[in-house]
Amino acid sequence: MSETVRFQFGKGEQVRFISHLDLMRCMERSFRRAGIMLSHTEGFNPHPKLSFGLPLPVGVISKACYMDAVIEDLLPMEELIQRLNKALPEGLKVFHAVIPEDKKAVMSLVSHARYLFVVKPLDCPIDVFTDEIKNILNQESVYIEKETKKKSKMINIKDMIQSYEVKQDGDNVVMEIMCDAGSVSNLNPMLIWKAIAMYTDYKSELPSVERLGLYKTENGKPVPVI
Amino acid sequence: MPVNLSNQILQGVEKPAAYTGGEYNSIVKNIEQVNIRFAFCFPDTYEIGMSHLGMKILYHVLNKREDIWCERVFAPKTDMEQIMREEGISLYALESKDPLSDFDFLGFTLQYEMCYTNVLNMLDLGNVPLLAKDRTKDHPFVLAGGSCTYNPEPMADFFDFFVLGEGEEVTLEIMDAYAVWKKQKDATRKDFLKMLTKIQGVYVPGFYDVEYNADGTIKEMTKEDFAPSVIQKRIITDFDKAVFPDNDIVPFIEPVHDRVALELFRGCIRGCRFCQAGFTYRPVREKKPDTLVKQALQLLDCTGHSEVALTSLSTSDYSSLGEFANKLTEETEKRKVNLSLPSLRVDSFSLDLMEKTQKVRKSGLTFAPEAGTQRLRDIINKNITEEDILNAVKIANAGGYTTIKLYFMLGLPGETMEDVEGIAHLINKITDVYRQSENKKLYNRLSITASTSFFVPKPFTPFQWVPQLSKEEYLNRQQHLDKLLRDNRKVRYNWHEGDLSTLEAVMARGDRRVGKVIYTAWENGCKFDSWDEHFKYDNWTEAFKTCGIDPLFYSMREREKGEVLPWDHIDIGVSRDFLWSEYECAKKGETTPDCRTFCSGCGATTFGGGVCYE
Ligand code: SF4
Repeated sequence: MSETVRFQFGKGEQVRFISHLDLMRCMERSFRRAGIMLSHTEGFNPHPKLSFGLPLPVGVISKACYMDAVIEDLLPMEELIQRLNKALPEGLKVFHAVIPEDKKAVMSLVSHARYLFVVKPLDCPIDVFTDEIKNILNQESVYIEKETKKKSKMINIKDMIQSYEVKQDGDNVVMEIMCDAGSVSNLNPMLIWKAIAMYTDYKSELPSVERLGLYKTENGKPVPVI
Repeated sequence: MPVNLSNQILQGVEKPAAYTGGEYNSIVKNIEQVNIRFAFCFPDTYEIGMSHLGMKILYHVLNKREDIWCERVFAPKTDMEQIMREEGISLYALESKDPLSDFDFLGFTLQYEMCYTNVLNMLDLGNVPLLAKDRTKDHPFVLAGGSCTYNPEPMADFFDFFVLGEGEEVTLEIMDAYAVWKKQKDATRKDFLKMLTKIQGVYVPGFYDVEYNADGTIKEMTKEDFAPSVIQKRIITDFDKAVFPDNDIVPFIEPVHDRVALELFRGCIRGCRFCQAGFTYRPVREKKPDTLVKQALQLLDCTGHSEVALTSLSTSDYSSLGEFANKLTEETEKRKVNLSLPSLRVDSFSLDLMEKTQKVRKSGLTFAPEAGTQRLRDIINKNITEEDILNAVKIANAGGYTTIKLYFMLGLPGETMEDVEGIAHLINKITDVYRQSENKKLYNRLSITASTSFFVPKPFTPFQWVPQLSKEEYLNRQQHLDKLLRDNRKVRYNWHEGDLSTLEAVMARGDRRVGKVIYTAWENGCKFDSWDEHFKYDNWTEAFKTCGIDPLFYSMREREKGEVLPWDHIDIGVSRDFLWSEYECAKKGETTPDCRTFCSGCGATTFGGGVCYE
């Protein structure tokens, strides 16, 4: 009997620059290496039943990536995690595995994401830069041009941000942001940075971005996907 | 010291994962615990290099040794190169991120002539002097192997030494010699290179010099006393027992060939007269079916790939193909793994096999008649008749295939306009098979792609003495064919532009003087020459002019029987006399049987194994 298992895994520094497509191919192979047989679709070109939660932009690391895998011969969750971790390249690590109660695809559940930005200013003192970012985010609205395939439009990212915290940490500004994510409304973390970089005159390094959590909505409140 | 690659840099380039390493099965060692550091350099992009079987084998062979750490280096694409040059970042190896200058060896593989400028560009990006004579004891030794090294002369100035033939064994012998040399405090670079002249298969060009005649041909090759006058290639005689990588690297980004590659055998029994590999890989040596199945499964297990490809020069000639295919498909089916079968001859057996193994949509069938008439096919010793081809097409038609790819060459020795027209006739007959068959749907869906390339005469083939056709005449023939094919609405005709092939013809049969042209072309900004979007023909023309070298001397000149050829000091086992007699046969339109039907005494028996002793 095949069974759907939901995994939470992390994408670390070593694999920061692999794309979502590469990640999917890598996971599929890791299941094969781990000796965990996945169910395949029917038809001319059968492919394994493996689906992913919200894709990460290239260059972003994460503690909260999710995938649903339909497994042919179910094993205890602990063993699945152990086998998979042995077969994964460095930088990818599975933390949890559960048989989900709801049968909805993991992608369709996601409603919010929490990101951490760590960034170093290049031409101003750290406290000045911290205040600058606070001021930008404190504005009523923060408009930025969002380019889609055909057209570009102005959006107010403040509409999509639920909460944020900006503080100084040594030489860095650390900023944590909870925002819309998923198929209904999605705010790409790179766009948040693009907005800040546009509104400030100070220069900084490119921030290191990490996704800390991915959430679904239950009773109007965000709760972790698993 | 690793180079400093900031996120900022990587975020700014296309496919950054090509520059960060860390792939599954890639090997990281502690530099404190290794004695020899070897950088395997592939002079093209990551995606192409990671598909190369030779690299996988040597990576495995070297890393199995505890005292050696072998890493990988590829040519960065132009966006990355630009940033590296701006930021002063040296070219580095993917595993340690250490710059090239930290290594003991930089081992390049030369798979096609048009990668030569990339070699120079990579050395330059790695801050290693381009000319072997400028390197000191602080620099790595720079070596090359691969199929282009059978005529190493055009690249002789840039390499400290060449390794001829199959590298599995000889590379370790070189490493052992190095370990000995390294212990001697005051030993010079030359001392090490001198040691190498004792190893069969190693050619140190610096110990040789060339004298020329007034007409530009070679008078003779002189050498230092201790250097051998002939350097014989190395092969693995017992291929079944050859070392085999059991832990292939699994790239994150998609390489050109993303699969397990299984080498059924090395060499080819056929002896097509235009094909360099057909002679340089002699004699044919096979692996046993059981060995192959075992190795396939091992690789599938450790990589997680979902496809196995049988890669050999002509898979249908594997002597136990039936038995092997049955055993392998039994296993691949269980694992839902696809089997890909390139270079299969089309007959009922192979179609059966394809039906069985390829659960995917019926892909296309590929034929390579190479020439349009029987007369010309006899000249090139392509032992396939029109009847064979049409029978195969009938089988393809009965099997429901509707996509057909056809490969031909233009400019083959002895080719006339009639042969060019023969290509069109053959294609029309293939179309007729579909038109006349009962199933009209198949005819409606039929799509034929015909491609022609421009023949380049290669060293160590019976055609090593012939002139290449002029570019003008090549284009003339190609346009004629294009006109003839225009009436056939089922055909799409692709052709190669002539420029690249004329240049390839110079590199393939060039001598040491061509090295200056390569250097100058690189200075003029040439790199990635085999990429249409980067190829700068005018800069090459300019380089020839600057160096006072006439490219046509190399490409379009007929060589006399007695002329000293630039690669005469290299011995591939097949004798020059045999190649000449094959050339004579070609002129008379006589064919030569394959090695299994009849041994023609090419000379490859000297290696003491393979098909010659079956
Ligand atoms: S010696 Fe004979 S059998 Fe051996 S490779 Fe040459 S032609 Fe073939």
